[in-house]
Amino acid sequence: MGKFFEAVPHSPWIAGAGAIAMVASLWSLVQAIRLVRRGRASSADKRAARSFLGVTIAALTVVPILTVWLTAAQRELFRRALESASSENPARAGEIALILGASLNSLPFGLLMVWPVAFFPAVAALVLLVKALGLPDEDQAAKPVRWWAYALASAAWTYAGLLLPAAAIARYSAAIISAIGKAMYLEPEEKAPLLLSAISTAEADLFVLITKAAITMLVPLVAGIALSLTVDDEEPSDGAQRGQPEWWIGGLCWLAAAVVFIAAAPLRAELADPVPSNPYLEGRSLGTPVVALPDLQGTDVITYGPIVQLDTARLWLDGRPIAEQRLAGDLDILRRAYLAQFPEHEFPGGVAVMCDARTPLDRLVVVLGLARAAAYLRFQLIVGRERITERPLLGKLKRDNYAAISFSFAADGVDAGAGITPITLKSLAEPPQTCEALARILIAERGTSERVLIEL
Amino acid sequence: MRRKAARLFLVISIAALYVSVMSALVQFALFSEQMIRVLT
Repeated sequence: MGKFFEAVPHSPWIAGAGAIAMVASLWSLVQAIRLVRRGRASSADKRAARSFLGVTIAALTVVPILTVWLTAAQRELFRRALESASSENPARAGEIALILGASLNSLPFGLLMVWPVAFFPAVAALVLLVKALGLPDEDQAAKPVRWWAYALASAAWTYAGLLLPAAAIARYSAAIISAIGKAMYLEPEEKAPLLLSAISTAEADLFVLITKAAITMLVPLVAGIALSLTVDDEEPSDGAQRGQPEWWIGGLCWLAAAVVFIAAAPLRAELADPVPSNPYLEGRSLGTPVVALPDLQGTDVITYGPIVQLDTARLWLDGRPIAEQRLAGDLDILRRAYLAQFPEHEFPGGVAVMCDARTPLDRLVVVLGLARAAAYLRFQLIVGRERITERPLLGKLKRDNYAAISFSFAADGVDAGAGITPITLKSLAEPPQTCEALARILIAERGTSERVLIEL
Repeated sequence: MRRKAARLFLVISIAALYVSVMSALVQFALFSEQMIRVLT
């Protein structure tokens, strides 16, 4: 439970509001039962009916917040478990994704238990208010307006308080169950991404429906206000009149409103400064990273075909792992496939090499040599670096940023052009040690010209 | 008169509570959406 509370900011506030709402709605339920048992409505009954109508409206509005909070807390736990497992063991991360997807699915059942606590006393309050007002049996003159106000409020309450949340919960549950069903047949490392995206879609759905429910509750609120303003103020005949109980209830409402406003201050701060989207991730769907490292100016847009990705030990060609000794052969296959597909075109001979900015240059030189062996002479070096941004609520966010720089080998088939002298890496005064250092040198050497040639 | 004033006060208070809770709900929903975008 402790972990649950620390997983989401301001949990004690939200949990406290939820507890107050639950207590208030239970109190109104007790009041409702007491009034029903007493039979004839007195003037004090009218006051009581009005009071707990207000309290139950407040309680009903807290329930959607609790829903959102529970979902956010579960998701945060989910993310932490995935984060700790996915780097070392994708299979284990897949298992955790399945288990936590199933536990997220238990949320609707919890909600089904919470919701009636607020819903039924609210209906009881409406019924009692009508009874206290003498509707629809007495007071014939006022009957039509009040009767319609009552009918409208009841309909809105049933729709917003019961039908919409039930629909939202059912859809959420169904979406997650179907995602779990699909994930079970996937490879271990594919389970987590599928479940995460299914859950975020289901949650977005849930938020929309629950916000809709909360907005629809404005109708019974307005109807309740209208009813309460048209109540006749006859003198009390049973001696139950003692002061004005509505004053302190109103005061509590203001206090609660102030607490909610203050508690939401960090949220406002977070939303005032929107999270920048991750253009790398968005660009990836097009196959091209588009973000420049902020301190590396004058870089290029990716234009070349195959992408070779490397780290200190492994290699990937177009996203699939590949052994070093097979790289030249596979690039050659791609070259011949290109020529077969576009016989009228000249082979562009370009390859993009993507790596962390801190990758040792020796490692890159090996890959460049292999590409050259497969007749690829034009390159784009894509260097990436992790950037960390600090957020008011979300904390530290890690983002990968990438920058690209084009260059060619000074070799047969690539024309050196108008007096461009190739850079020979080994003969530089300070030979670059990392891929980022090379990128900087290439940018500096390129200057205003479009081309830069290197010699290993 | 006092009863009328008390009733009006109650009604305005409930409305204020409702509006503040609703705005917090919307903010929280927007925040959750941002969080989901960052995490996935």
